[in-house]
Amino acid sequence: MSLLAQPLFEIKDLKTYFKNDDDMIPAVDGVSFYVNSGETVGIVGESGSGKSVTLLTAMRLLDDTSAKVMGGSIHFNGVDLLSASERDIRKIRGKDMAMIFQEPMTSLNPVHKIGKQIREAIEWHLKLSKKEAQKRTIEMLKLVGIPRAEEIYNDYPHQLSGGMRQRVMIAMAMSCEPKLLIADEPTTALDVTIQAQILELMKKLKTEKDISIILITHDLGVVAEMCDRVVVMYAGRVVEEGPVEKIFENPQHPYTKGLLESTPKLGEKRKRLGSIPGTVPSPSNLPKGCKFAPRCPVAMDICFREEPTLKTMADGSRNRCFLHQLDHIKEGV
Amino acid sequence: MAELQRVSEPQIQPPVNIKQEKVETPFSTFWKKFRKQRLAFISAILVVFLILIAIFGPYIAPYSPTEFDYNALLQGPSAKHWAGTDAYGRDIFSRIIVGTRISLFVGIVSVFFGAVGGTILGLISGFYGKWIDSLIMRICDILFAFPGIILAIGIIAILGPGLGNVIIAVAIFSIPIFARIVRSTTLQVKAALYVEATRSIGAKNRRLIWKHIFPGTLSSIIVYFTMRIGNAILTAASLSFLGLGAQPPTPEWGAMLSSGRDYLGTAPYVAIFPGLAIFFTVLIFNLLGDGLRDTLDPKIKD
Amino acid sequence: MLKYIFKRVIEIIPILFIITIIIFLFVHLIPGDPARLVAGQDATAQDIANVRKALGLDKPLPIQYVNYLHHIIQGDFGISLKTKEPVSTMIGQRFMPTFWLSVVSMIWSVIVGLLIGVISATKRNKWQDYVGMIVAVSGISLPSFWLGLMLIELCAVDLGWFPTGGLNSWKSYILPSITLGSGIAAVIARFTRSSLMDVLKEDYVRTGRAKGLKERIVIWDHALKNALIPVVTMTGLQFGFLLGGSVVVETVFSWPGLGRLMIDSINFRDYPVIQSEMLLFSLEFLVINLLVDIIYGFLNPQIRYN
Repeated sequence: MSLLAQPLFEIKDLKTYFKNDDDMIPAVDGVSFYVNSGETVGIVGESGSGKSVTLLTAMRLLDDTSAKVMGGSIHFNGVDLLSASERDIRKIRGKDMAMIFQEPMTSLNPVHKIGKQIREAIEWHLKLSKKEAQKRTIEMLKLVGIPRAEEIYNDYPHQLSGGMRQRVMIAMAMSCEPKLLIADEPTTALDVTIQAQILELMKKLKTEKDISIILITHDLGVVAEMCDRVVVMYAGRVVEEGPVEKIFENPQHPYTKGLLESTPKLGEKRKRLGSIPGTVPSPSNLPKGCKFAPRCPVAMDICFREEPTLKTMADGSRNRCFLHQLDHIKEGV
Repeated sequence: MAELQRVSEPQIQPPVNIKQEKVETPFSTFWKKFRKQRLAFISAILVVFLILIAIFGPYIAPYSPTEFDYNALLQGPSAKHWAGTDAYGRDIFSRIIVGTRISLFVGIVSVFFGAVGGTILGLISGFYGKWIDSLIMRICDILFAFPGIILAIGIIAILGPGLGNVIIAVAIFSIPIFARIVRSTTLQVKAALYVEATRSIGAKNRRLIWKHIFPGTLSSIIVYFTMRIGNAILTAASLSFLGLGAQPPTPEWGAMLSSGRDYLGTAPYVAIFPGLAIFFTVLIFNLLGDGLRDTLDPKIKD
Repeated sequence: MLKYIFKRVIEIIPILFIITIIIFLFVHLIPGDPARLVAGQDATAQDIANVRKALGLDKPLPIQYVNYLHHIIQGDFGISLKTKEPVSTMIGQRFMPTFWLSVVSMIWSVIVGLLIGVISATKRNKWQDYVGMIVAVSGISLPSFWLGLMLIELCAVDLGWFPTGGLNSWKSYILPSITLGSGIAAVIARFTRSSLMDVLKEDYVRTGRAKGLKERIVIWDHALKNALIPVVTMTGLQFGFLLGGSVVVETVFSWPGLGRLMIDSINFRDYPVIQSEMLLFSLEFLVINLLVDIIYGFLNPQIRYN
């Protein structure tokens, strides 16, 4: 791999706002990150941080009567996703770039058989005949560990459990050999044991198929299991980013620290779990200055006045905190 | 090393730029949202206008609705008679204006009684549940087994023709509609309130229903109420058209259309104008109902 | 699925009985003595007594009810007070015209209503939506008798294209079915629009798009298949209304159907006919409700497969 290899997927300074009567609400306000081929990148943040909206924008799945992209760019495999035509996007969606969603219970069409739901994408993208597509569908179902694949092929979604449905979703997404799989909280709605199974499945697919994965989650445990790098988001912005081991061992941003402290770790002997006081601010009512300052245990005066920029550290990781931009403060204060 | 102002313990600093938000009452929120629905807003104004006509009708009509003028039979629209005259020389325009009062009265009163009856049944049904719920819902099913107008005709057949009986008939077939909708919203509110209800031990059921559950159902009731008025006016006009409602010489729009039927070829305006009146009145109420629904509770289906 | 059908049928039976009871009591609810009503205005006391005996009106109510049921099951609905014909014959003659008018009206109103509803929902808040919804709300606000009269005036009297009434040829169906259908089309349009709009917000529609399928397929194959299920249900109910209730339109167009029979009977106080027609209408309605429920169960895979 050449040092100058382009990332497979790159978001630069994306701004997605939502229309609400007369106001524009900044759900995503200047997000940038990239994903290389073969990498698994975790996007972490609490609900409302804008992580889903960011990736939905990339897939162009947002309703354009309420959501508007106000700036930035998204490139995938050389294609400018934001300015591509509907036709071109449709060629990419489901084929090179696939997405699975959080709620397996509602993400499958209740009046279509399982087999059809997977097969139609295969027929469409890979131009296979119905019979060939059926064969491939059953292979995919077996690949994701669904027993009795031939029978399930003719079942309806309501006849399957949540875990099975999520496997079907994964089979659907993988069916056309995507280069990038975006998984939006794929295990959040599932039982813990099923969660573990789905994650195992995804790890297996990762090694077998050599795909890049963007894994959106609020669960740091999942990130530790699966990801090479992690992007931490807060209030529509990236606040920290770097390799997983580095971030976990030595988090720079107070928010990341807070998240880590509130995650129980095996072997730890602490009595109380840390928590971050306060709640995530609503995008329509964001504070001036650093968005995390009101909840930050080490906030300084400047944090309430100015918003820090995302700065790249010496080791390549990035964070958005004045604590690590001391020279800026020296000048400012 | 710069002096870092370290805050000694975790504190939640209030965001510095909190906007001073105006205290918004439920009504002002509703009003703001409602005003944006232009069509509905216009309809609301027109409804007020109609009500004014209904109230002041007899005083502003140029002629008396029952005044015969044998010198001016079946005349077309003119400067003297804006909508022409009918077979007895009566000014159609005046009759339409006075008829506004009748149609609005019948429409609003009948739906009102239906709403009251249905709401009571719905609240009881939803709140107490069990056998009384089954009983009330069975009765509603039976009432629903008859198409609305057939039920109305049946009731008229028993009670006899006349506007009063029309009001009763429409009220009766409106009851199950309201009962069902109030029952379902009652169940929703009940589920939401249960936590609070268990805490307010000692609160009498009746108080609970009236003070807590009923307000939760109010927005649905208002929407349905408005939406049913249009239908009620149509049904009343239809019944009068069939000869089962208003009796001559009452200037009710449906009855006017019925008499206009005989003169269709020669003097069509006798039928055109009352029909237009019905159409616009019902249209306005339906638009208002739609607007209210979109503002208050978009989940309601027709 | 069978269990579902069975349950529905069972639920109907008590309602059926109660309706027959109510209809049976109908005659007794009317002020006046039923025997006298049947005997006529100038009947003597002896005539009335005879009639009372002949009709079994001297027996206690429950027995009368059983007799009534007995007659009904055998198809004996009594004799018309006006024409002295058997009511069953009269109703039999009038049934087909009403039925066919309902069918024709239904066909065109479903097609038009669905089209308007789908276009409105997919072009939400654009001009097609506004036009469609204005047309639809006008459709439900239009008095059917007025529309009928206007159509007669325009197309029959002035232009002479169609007959002004009665049932003579296929041309006779045009104006009445337009009149009847417009209200139904409007209701279907509104309902389809709201149903489709709801479905378009669902997660599985997003999944369909995420697969990169053509938008046309997402709407027609993915969304509509779901959205139409409640529409089918509602359309069935509308048909039920039509079968029983086109009283107004039949009057306007002098249609030889059940609706006009109803009005004539009410004006004449022909109670056996009124009673039997009300029974027929509510029976039709109940049966259609049942059929609609069954069709719904068939369309919804969650019910079809356990």
